[in-house]
Amino acid sequence: MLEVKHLTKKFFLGKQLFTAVNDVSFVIEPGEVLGLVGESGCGKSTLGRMLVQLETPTSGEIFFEGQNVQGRSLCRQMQMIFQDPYASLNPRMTVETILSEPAVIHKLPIRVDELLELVGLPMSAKHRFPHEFSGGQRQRIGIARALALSPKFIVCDEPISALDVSIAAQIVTLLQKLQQELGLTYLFIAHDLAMVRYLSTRVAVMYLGSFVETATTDDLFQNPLHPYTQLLIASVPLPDPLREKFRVRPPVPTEPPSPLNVGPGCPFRNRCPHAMAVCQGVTPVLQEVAPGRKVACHLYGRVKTEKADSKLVVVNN
Amino acid sequence: MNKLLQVDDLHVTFSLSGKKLHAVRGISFAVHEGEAVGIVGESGCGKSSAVQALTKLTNAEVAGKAWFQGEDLLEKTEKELRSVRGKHIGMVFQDPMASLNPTMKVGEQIVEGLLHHKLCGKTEAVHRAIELLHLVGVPAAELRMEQYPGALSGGMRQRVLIAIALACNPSLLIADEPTTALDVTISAQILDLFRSLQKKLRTALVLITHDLHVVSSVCDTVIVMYAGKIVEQGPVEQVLNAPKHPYTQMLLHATARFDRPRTEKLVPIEGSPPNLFEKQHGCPFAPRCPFVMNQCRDTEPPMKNGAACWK
Repeated sequence: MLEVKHLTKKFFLGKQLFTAVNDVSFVIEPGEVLGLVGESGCGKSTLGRMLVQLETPTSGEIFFEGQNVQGRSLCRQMQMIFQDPYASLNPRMTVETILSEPAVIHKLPIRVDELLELVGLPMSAKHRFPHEFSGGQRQRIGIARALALSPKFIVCDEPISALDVSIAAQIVTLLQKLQQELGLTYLFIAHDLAMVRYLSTRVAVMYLGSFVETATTDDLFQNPLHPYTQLLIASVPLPDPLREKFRVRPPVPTEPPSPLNVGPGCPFRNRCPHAMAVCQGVTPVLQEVAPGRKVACHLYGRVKTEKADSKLVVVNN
Repeated sequence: MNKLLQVDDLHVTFSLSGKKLHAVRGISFAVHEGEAVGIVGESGCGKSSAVQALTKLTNAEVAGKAWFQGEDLLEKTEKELRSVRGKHIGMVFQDPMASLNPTMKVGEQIVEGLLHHKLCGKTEAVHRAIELLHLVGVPAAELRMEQYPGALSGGMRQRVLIAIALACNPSLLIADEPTTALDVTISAQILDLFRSLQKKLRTALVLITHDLHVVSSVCDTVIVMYAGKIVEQGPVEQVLNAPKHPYTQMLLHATARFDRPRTEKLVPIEGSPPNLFEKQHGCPFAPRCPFVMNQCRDTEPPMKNGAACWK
């Protein structure tokens, strides 16, 4: 459904050039939920915003159903749900205006009642303003707005991180229900790994602008290959005190480097317990190590250098 | 273990444009010496208001008793409280950037408390500050002393705040959502730090969080709050592994868990918490509770065997 090739986004921060997304390529199949995880500043939101054309890529291409999206208006097919349900709704518009606006612009039939029912809001919500709703209800309005044009693909950018536990579960189950009923495809961006595990069919792990691992959800969580993925999973606290007390976490030497000066080599090399000489100089490329599994790490198999495909560096596996 | 803090029937009421918001509605709990207590609940349940009221960091109306080292904190004047805050009770807040002064060097901010409480001279304070930074795992402590908070990462700032809170050797450390603003790998490091500090220093800890998972690694006992009341309290193993109150049970089912099969369905808690401007009748959770009985709507359940529930 969606194919991304060598997507890169660079920003100027003052005079410094900062690479938010660095040469990312991936495919999203129809009906799939691709979870995108990574820590703040890793570029996951920028990537999501580029897909729905809220940001222009510095280089690289995005294909939606085989066609290049550049210069085309695809908002009828691709929509976005934002993180902050307070900031992403116009406080001066009633819910009815918010939900009918997309249809008015695209000259399509207005179906506010149907949308409210889909997301589980009462009909009485129509004439009220966003500030009259709780965070969870506002997020439902945001979801209804994203559905207004019956899109096929939705980027969910941290839709639950601003919500409380009991409300987040309501939103996640709603997203899951809509995905199954309407046959939607999602890119689900989140930092809550347990929720990503719950909702996604496949997961991509991002670190400082690059994909370090992609795999099916079961593979990724049962057998994480990239040391960063391993660290992420080990960092999630478990609600079971007995297990938690005997849990040994791998020590992490340092904190992530500033994304401004990552330098050459593997972006994770300074925090990696398995760092080798090759990691300092050669950036590992995301490559298939098993069917449906890709890892960017020198620990796994043959590694091509960035410069020339002919020059092969073989590392003990 | 001796009781360090005993809170009795604490009420906190805010006045917002003429209306009264009853944020904390009569809670009682105790913290023993060296114990780590977790207070868990969703936003607006009164967990932060309750502990801020203890050291009068809020301008709300506070009623009740809070016995700390034999004295009632709530009776104290502002001047008397100043000798308690920082010296006997250290505090760590959620947002490490907002709690540090951006125009003061890190070292000055750690030394400040020691000098204010006249615990030692300047040279000794600087030594102690460096020692503290080592203790909380800040590398190159001498160098960090001369830096401004802006030069530090979020995790490092939180470590500095913990160092400040521990500077005067308080007997109680209150941490209000100390990991919420941090990334998952950094948050795990900070939780590990709390755990090791607890073992080393035996400082009592009150950890406030919205995340049930966070208390499991650090706390000995847990207090679960809902709509200004305590609905369940007990040892962490009991509350998390065999919760009694339907709210705690449902909260655990509403979170995706790593230690359970992926296919296990999430069960969201329908509805939303009650309006705290209004008076409550009966159990605060009754409108959302699947086991609700008539009794629950009329009469408030008393705390019995660790849970406030009629069932």
